[in-house]
Amino acid sequence: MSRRQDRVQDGQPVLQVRGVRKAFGGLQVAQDIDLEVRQGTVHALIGPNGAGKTTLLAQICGEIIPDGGRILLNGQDITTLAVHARARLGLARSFQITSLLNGLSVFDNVLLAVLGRSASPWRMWGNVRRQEPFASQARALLEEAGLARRADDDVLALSHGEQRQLELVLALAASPALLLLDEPMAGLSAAESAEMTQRLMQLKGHHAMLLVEHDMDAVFALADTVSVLVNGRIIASGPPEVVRANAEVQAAYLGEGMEEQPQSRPPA
Amino acid sequence: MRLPLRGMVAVLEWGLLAALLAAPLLAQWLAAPFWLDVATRLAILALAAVGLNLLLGVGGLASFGHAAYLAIGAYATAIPIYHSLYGGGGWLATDNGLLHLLLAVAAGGLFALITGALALKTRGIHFIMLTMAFSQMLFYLLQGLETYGGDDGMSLDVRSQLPGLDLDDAAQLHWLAVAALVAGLMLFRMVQRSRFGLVLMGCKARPERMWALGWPVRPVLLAAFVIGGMLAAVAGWLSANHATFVSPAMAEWTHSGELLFMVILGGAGRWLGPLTGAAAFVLLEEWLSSLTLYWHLPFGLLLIGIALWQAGVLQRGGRP
Repeated sequence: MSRRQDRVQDGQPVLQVRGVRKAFGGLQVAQDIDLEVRQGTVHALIGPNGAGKTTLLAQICGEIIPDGGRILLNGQDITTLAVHARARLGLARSFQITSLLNGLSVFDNVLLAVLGRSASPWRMWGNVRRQEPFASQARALLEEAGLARRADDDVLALSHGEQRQLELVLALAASPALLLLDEPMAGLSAAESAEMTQRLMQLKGHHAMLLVEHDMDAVFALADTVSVLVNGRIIASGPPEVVRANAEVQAAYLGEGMEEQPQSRPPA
Repeated sequence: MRLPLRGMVAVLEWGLLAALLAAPLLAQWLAAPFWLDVATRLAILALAAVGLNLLLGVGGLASFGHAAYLAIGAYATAIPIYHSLYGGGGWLATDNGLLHLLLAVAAGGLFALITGALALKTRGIHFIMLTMAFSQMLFYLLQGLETYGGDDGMSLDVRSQLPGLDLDDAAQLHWLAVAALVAGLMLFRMVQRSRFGLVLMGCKARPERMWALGWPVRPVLLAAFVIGGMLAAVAGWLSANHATFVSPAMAEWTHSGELLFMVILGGAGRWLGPLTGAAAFVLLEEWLSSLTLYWHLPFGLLLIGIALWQAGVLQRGGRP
């Protein structure tokens, strides 16, 4: 517990969201959002369906450009940068619904993830699958994740659990500075969910993580900081115990939010 | 069941390539110059289909305007020849075949760059409609060129002049077309196995994920679109020299549809697929049109049958 607190204080901010605003028509989906993820820590973002969690993630990874405010990655302003350019600066994400490159082998998926951080796409000669050091790095990552024997299979042939696992490998392949995790537990069985929590525990300290998750056990096990988003506004932010005890949070969310279904699509 | 079929297809493909190479000799031996003509047309169409295979098979871009590049390549050959014979045209007037080729590739690439940049702002059916619309625009533009025959098109009164080659010799023209096809196939193979090819496959599979992994999806797709267009423009250059005739009809969307059929018939994304596809298309067309004036009907039925078979509908226990 105390070690966790130390890290919170020691870590430099990797992600800084400063006064970010976004409206779709008359609907305010983000109102003056301030948020920080520090080196080696997990910041969990919770809130009821339609609170604007997915929209906020989309703004951080660049799919949606905010109406106002700034987003900084390692001190660099990325507010209006293209999605792929942010990725190359060290921002990685896992998707809410498994989004692997279907029709490609497991190995090719990982290879593209390894190459994506630094390699130019314009190399039109040579066998990409034999090119070092990338091919070895991809093999090592698969080995580490226990997916090595599946390397040549189409990703569609993987079980759901294996697909979630690979999803994480893709996000981590480029050793990102910041990992955005959009409901990594979605659709997992209790056992798989515990395994995933375990895996994220191991990653903690190596990567800064912003975690959007409905599984409260996972959130309170992993997070150093919890922010609660309701109607596009952060109503509370702090250490998990403090947030859990916050009356406003309990009224707005935790009381009825525990059993709710994971959302299947972003709020309109 | 699958393996022997694959083996048979491979034998068929390599056999076709060998037959194409030997076509001038076979035609002479059988005293059937007509079949050499068919073989040359096949090689040219296959080359255009290789370009489309890069887009559709590797990059997942169903362009319904690929015939436009055949027309661009053909007019890039015919217009300089017209001016070299009948004056005017300034710097364009030349009978130099290499300059025709250069002009064809440059014009095809430019058309692909401009229309592709716009069309790639969309996906799926919208992309198909836009590529089709651009090719139809070209079709009407060419119809309006009264100097070059308007909607009647025009004949080439001489062929492109190339050092060491005589394109008036049917065999030499054929081998040039086959050499271009083989070069196109090798280029396709090289690109498909390369990093660019893998990125392209990723863009086909799931662009959002490719963005998130750090890949600039649209520029990569645009590059493939330009390369595919250039390959088809080379086919257009050959086509003008083969038919010694160009017309706006070359750009018509029905021809783009035929190219799509060739790619799908041969198996989209398969290296030698366009060759089989073009062969099946050209040979069926020749055979059926010799049987009946209404050959489009059995031809259409056959295409439907093949498409259904490929989708697995006709196989026992086929995919739903």
